[in-house]
Order: sequence, then C-alpha cells, then structure tokens
Amino acid sequence: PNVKLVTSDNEEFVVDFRIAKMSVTVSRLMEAMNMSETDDASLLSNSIPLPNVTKAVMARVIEWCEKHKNDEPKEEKENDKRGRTTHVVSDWDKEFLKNDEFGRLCQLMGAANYLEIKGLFNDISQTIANMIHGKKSDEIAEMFNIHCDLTEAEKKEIRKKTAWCED
Amino acid sequence: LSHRSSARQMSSSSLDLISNLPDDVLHLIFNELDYDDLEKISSASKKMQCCASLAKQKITKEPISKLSITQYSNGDFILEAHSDGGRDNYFMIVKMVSLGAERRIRKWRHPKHYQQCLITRQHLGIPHEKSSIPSEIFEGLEYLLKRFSAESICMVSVLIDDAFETRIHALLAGVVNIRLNFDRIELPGNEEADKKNFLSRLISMNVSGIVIARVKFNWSIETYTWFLYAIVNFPSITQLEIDNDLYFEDDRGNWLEKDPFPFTSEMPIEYFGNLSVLKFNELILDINFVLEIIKRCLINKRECQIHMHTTERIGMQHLQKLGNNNDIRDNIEIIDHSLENTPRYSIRVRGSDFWLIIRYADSVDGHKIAQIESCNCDIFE
Repeated sequence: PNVKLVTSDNEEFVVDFRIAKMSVTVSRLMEAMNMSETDDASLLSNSIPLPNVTKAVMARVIEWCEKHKNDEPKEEKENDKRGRTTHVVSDWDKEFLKNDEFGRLCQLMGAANYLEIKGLFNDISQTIANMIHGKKSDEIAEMFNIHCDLTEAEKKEIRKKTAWCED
Repeated sequence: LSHRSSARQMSSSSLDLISNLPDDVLHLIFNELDYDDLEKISSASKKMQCCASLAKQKITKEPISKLSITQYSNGDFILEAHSDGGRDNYFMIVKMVSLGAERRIRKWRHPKHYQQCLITRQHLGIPHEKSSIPSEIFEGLEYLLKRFSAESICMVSVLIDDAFETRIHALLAGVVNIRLNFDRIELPGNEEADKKNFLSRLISMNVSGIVIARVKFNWSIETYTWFLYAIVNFPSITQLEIDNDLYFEDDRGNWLEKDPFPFTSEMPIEYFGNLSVLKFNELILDINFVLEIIKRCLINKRECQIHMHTTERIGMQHLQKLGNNNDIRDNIEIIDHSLENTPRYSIRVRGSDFWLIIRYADSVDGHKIAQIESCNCDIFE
C-alpha cells in the first residue's frame, strides 16, 4: 500500500506505507486520520500534509528512507578515548550527506526533526558535530558565519577560564 | 534530486545558520562534541557559550586515573592531571614567592612541560612547614573536576585545615565514585579531637574510597576503633587503606620500630565483608574475621584486595573449614602452592573464572602480611 505526502510547495509524493511509518509524525497523522495499512480506501482518499517540508528536502528524506527501510531499530553509539560519545554514521550515510552545503544540511535536519526520523536526524547532527570537532575557535566561527555578540571583556573572561584549552 | 556540488560549502550566503537552529537541535549536536570542542565554540557567541555550557554538564567526562595536589620544599604547590597514556597532562604551579602573599601562577597543558616539571621536581623534597592550599589551586581543581572523571584525588604533603575541608567538600558535592588519597599530610593540631574532626569530615564526603598513608599523627587503637566504627555508617566507601610508617621518632630523636597492634574488637562483617579494598598495615586482625571476608568474596564472586596482618597464618586447615559452609561446599576447589614456610593458595569457584589468591608477603617493615586478591579470569590460561 502507498501513502500520499504533500509538501509545503504542494508537491505530492507517493511512498510505500513502510517508508511513511518511518516518520513518527506521519505515523501519528495517519492514526489521527484513521488511515490503516489494511484499508486501501483510507489511504487512497487521504493525503498527509507536511507544511514544514519543501519538495527538494522531501526528495532527500525519501532517498534516505528508501535506503534504511529494512533496517532493524538500533542505537549505535561509541565512546572515543577522550570520552566523546558519537553516533555511528554508516559509509552510505556519509556519502549521502557529504556534498550537502551547510544550509541544505540544516534544512534536512529541520525536516528530520519535524518528521521525527531519528536515524536521519542523528546522522546529520553527528555530521555537523564532526565538522566542529578539532577545529579552533576562529575556524568554527568562520566556518558557520557565527556573528559574535560577546564583548571584549566577556571574551577575556572566557579565555581566562579556558586558558588550559589552547595547546 | 537536488544538485550536489563537489565540495561541501558551509553556506552560500553569510547567514549564521547554526545559531538559528532550534535550541533542542543545537543541544543534541553539542552533546556529541568533547570538552575541548565545547570550550572552543563557547567563545564564538553568547548563544554558543550558553549551549556549550549546558552540554559540558551532560557529556561523558574523559576518564583519568588521578588528580594530585602536592606541596614542595620550596613552598610551591603543583596541581596535576594525568591522562592515561600521557596524551594530555595538565599542570598548574602556584609559586609562593618568598612565602609571602605574592604568587605567580602558571598553567600548562602539554606532555613536553610534564617532562620539564618532573626534572625540576627531582631536586625538591617534602616541605618542613606545610601551608594552606592556595585558592588558585582549588579553582584549578574545580576546572579539572568538571573536565575529567578522575578515579582519585591525591593530596601530598599539604596542610589539611578547615579551609581545605570546606573547599573540598563543596567541590565533591556533585562528584561520584572518587577516592581521596592523603599522603604525608598534616593537620593543624595533633590532639585526638583534631584527628576525629578530620576523619569524621573525611568519611562524610560521599567518596568511594579513602587512602591514608604516612600521616604525621599517631593512630592509637582508640583512633582506629572510633574510625572503623564510624565508617560503617557510610556504605558508599568501598575502598579503605591505611598505610602508616611503622617507625617513629622518640623524644630523643631515635627511630624506633612500632609493632602492629591486635585489633580485638568485633568489626561489623556486613560492612567490611563488602569492601573491595581493605588494607591495613598497623592492625592485626583475627583470622576468623578474615576467613569470613574470604567466604563472602567466594559466595558473591566479588573482586577484592585485602592486605593485612592476621593473628595466625592462613593454612590449609583454615581453608578446609570454608568447605563446611553450605553455600560454598562442593563449589570451591583449593590448590596449594605453598613453599617452605610461605603459604600460598588459590581457590577457584567451580564453573566460573573466579579465583581468589591467598599468599603472605614481607611488608617494607619486615612483617608478614596476608595478601588476598581475587580476579575474574582464568589464571592458568
């Protein structure tokens, strides 16, 4: 059975029921609209509106879900030597996300967050964390265009507290 | 599908996209960073500082074996954090200039400086006059306790005064599973009340272990009795080690040897039978009490290290009595590895890799001390 998903720019995506169920948000909406896997009529006569997701982002979400639709539920985390806890991003996922510019990565993460697709959300948040990890303060600020609103006195105080931080 | 460029561009515009992410999303990203990353990003903006500050409280701290505070003969205090493998070492030196109020503080973080520091300290000894730990050292310790999950804090050759106890009590309020080691420390007074005051505050600090070595005050049998009966009210303390010099200087400056004294009081086995480390070099414990601890270790297959004098040497005849116990009868196998006058046994709990090794070793002062250690591994593999 298929489910119709409608994006904010009125694009309709017809996806497999299993893919639709990967989103907690979509699952809840289907339940609220009495749409069930065994009731084709309910699926045909209804569509799920997703006003927070655009067509371009939805296409990426569906591509990710297609790849992971048969995955067993799992929470793979590992600790590195310094105690840093990281989510394990598979090679396919790394490849999937590696060329996204940061703006698109944020949009995709926003969609994963809204749709409540935990695996995709974890992949993206870990990818962003990996972009930050090991960088110097000014490199991080420059990389993300962070507007610094700290006063010189505040900066000095932070530097004093973290004096051991810099090698 | 959307077009992909060949390399990741952070942003096509100059928008500060990361700061515009919802707070809960930022928190999840920050929780996957380490302490260094969070410190670096906290100087980027107020929002980053706020999120980093929250994440610092949540992330897993880097485990290290110990933090130490030492005073040297030139009056300097050194605070150190040793990460395992020497990858990162933190040093803070507070130089007490002319032992006056003026202080020079240096903070390092580099293995290279560790070597320099070691060379400098080789020429320094223990201070004759121990002084209060300066507040800068406590500030450094506070930082390191937030950053690392240390197994122990060692205080070496320092004065343990009221200010110390108040500061350390506050610093350890949110810390769990930490051991406090005191080596050659001094108290402001040597009266029985000073000792009891120090010991009672020490055991109420929510620590997992206490190690006291070579303290200047005299441990009388009364002090021991008071201490051991007080500690049973603090079951979170699972490691207890008191290692005192068995030599003392009399009024005429002669060095005399002190014999360990028999501890005849009946200690509550419910508490002492659950300790993972129990080491005394000054007390002689009743052999039946020690056998009871061994029995409990075998029944619970609990890892333990026990080093102490016993009223008589543990022999096969004692261990065979363990086999009379219903809980472990038929479940243990005793192997005798004794050499001439040197008892040595291993006991295996059948169907498991749990072993208990019992042997006697000479202590530095020439006394024979029972060493009972367990392990969860096949010792003959």
